[in-house]
Amino acid sequence: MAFIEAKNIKKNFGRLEVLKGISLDVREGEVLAVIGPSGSGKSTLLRCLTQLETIGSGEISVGRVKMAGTENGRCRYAPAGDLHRIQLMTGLVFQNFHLFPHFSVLRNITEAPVHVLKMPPEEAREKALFLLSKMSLAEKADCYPYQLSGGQQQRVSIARALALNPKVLFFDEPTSALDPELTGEILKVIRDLAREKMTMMVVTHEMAFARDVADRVIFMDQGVVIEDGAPDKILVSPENERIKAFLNRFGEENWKS
Amino acid sequence: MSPVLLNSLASSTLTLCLIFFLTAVLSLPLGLLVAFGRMSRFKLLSEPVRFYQLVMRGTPLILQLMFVYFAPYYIFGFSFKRFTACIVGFTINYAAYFAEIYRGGIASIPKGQYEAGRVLGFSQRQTFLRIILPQVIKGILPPMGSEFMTLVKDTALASVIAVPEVFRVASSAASRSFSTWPLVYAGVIYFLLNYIVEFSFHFAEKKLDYYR
Repeated sequence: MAFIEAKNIKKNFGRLEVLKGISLDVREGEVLAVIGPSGSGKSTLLRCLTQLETIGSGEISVGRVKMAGTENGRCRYAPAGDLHRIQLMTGLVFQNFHLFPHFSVLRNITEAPVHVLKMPPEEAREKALFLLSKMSLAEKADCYPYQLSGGQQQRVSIARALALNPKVLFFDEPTSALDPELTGEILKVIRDLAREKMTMMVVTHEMAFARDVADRVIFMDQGVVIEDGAPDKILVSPENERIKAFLNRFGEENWKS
Repeated sequence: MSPVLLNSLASSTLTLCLIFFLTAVLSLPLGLLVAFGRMSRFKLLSEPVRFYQLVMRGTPLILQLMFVYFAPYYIFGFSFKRFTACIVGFTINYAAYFAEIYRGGIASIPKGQYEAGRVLGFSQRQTFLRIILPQVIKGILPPMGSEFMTLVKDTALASVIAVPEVFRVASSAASRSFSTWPLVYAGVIYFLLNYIVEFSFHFAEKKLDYYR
């Protein structure tokens, strides 16, 4: 059984159909890259899986715990306790980091373990320092977010997500708010996590990264999954015309900028 | 300055401070509740709250104080004591203004802060108290400081229901002694108290200056 199972997810914003029946599985230890043009529903899909949006219909389960299901056309979410359990199994890294500006780097990381998991503060601190050194940011523990570069902030936000020991980590365009020079340091961190067999689902526009790191790629367009398969098949020798067009245009735009 | 005048100015200054602190302590939390009510998605709650704020902000505080003191007698057949009426009047008036300041402060916090709190497993309550509110407080300190300085001066309005605060004591001393000096002293008292208020807020702002 896959770690994340989503069946026929539909989601509307008013009259706009954003997700038109998405089904996907993510196995444990797998890195899934989600690509596709803007407005294709990639981020919305991620936000549904991390409970920041509710689905209109369909089924989702994470780590064998059911999050939502649909019976007779009515979508029902699991009881709050189950949803909280799922929330703790899933971590999300935002495009714009969303660090807490009034907390030091260290406290950004320890706050949830201490107050959500009730971990002893000393233990949380040690864990945070370990994660920071993993992110090569040990010396920044006492800094405040505004004192860090974008790339450093994003690495802190990854450490913050990892501090809760999530079973799966979602990334919503983690490098899109960064200078091209800073993109590499984030991609390296994700690559390292992949090596440690962290289950990850990454919405990205970094095609080279998707090809190198992902075990599987899905291509989304206008609220549907058009293609789901090996990175080489989709990114190197795509058969679908829509994907070909996207990759061509994408290549040109990258060339121009 | 005669010892009698000095004595009455001192006790009226205490009264002023008491009105100030009681109003602050009561209307700061009440204002937060009012702000929540106003921001509620339920029109049945938010619209009446909005109307209450409209009345509080749209009519003179001096009339509101008279209303709180005199109206209950005609409507319910009982009256508050002068001082109680004064505190009630100030509290419901200032809560309406504070609510607007809170509302602005809360609206200025990016949605991402709530979402980050949520995905980290914080409850709504924890997210608000640990993540949102501290940032709101930093943002609203300047307008709050202004409001507190206004409150110090507004205590003079309590004279209309004969609460013996600084302005009332000074103006009756002035008419008794055919001298304007008591009013000058009153002005100095208001200024000195607001000097302290301004100083405190400046200090608090400096304290929260450690992040952006």
